Amino acid sequence: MKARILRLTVVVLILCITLIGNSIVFNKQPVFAGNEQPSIVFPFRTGEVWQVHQGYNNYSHIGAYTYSFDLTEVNDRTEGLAVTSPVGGFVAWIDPPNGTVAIRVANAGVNSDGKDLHWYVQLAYMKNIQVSIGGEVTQSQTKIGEASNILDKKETISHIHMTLYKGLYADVSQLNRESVPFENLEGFAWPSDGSTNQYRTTTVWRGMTLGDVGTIPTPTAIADPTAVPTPIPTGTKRLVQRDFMVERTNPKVTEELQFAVDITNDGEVAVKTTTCNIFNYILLCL
Amino acid sequence: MRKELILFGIVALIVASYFLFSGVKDVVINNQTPTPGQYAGWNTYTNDEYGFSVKYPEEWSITSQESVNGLHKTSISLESSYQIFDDHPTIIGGYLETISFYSNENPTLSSTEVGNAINEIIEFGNNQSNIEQGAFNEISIADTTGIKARSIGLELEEYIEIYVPHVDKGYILEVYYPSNELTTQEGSTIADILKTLEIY
Repeated sequence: MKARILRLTVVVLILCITLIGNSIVFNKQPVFAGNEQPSIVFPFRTGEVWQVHQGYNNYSHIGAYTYSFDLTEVNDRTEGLAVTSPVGGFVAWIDPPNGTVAIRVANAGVNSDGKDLHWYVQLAYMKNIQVSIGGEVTQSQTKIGEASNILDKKETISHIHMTLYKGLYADVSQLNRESVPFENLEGFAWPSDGSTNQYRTTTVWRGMTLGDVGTIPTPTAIADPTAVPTPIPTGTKRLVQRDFMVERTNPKVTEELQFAVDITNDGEVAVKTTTCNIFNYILLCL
Repeated sequence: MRKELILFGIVALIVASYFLFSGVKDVVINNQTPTPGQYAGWNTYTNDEYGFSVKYPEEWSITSQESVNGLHKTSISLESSYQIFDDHPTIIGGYLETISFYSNENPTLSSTEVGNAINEIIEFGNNQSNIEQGAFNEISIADTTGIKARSIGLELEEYIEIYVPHVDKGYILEVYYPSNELTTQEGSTIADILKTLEIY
């Protein structure tokens, strides 16, 4: 009887150690096999100039998001700009409340359990997401959405968040992902030196080279359009702007306010309308 | 013999404790019975289009009603709980006490598909998103069975997510709120708000 109880105790102890050990293993970051990163480009249009607002190793860029870039347009015109696909691949998942789209790219080897890994590029905070799960996207051609500040629970500035990570093809535990520094972004590597907020304020644009890092692009000279006075033809109607006031009921909340003015026309002449938005106290008219 | 029995008992107790208390118990919304008069003076938010209503205290208010990527979002918050993040590079601020309801703007699911979608969330997480989500547990909410998990969001914030199948409307109502000491205590305001959730 005594021996049986002792044996039982030993069995329970072994079971206990095994289960606890397994739970520790399951919660560890996986060991990934090395693999060449896919070609990535910045997720905005050629000709635009953006900057790294938050870089590697800073605040929310830790853990699974350590090597991420938060990008803002240099002239604070981020809101509403088109977000284009930084890679070619397939839409793996979408999280609408946080404006997030993840694109599954190429195979990234196998993990220590022999399971297939893939490269994923995650973009976040977008509005008007225009892709769906499973859809194919083409690098720099497919419009993914528009840069914004979509985030549940908190209020953020308008920006694009971009992370490259390795993950399991169908990740159930959702802990099996590993953020890595960009090694092939615009054709060159963006290595980490471990410093805080690395690459912050770096100006970036499509087609930049390694030598451009840390520089500010020379503005392309754009000829001022010659103003040609156009005589107002007989019959032209003019719309006189009236004063108006916009009352914000909750000034703590950043919100996009849209308004429209109905214009009626009797058909004598064409009427051109303009759409305006107020964002962050700035009136923007298209 | 007695010593061995005591030893076995201690080991068994340790093992049982590990499994019983390894996860933090969420106390919210398990009690579905409101106290009579508890909601006197509370306001009611009703959304006939998406078929749900919820009560909230008079100190709280609707802080967001907008379309977000194909979802209709309604947020109800305690305005005084707004916290400004002065030193954060991208986050301006947020409510410590707030709850958001997301409804699909184009509900198309049959009752079977609603059930399948719930099972898929349980198995793969919402949208198979690789966002860190805890295990989904079945809960009783709005006179039906929903599922709930603790998760870590895009800004590494902890939050609670609840999915309520809305068979009549053909979609899954998504409910999110921050997970902090104000929202997860027994008797928290959010727990009381959730007890008033009705779908129709």
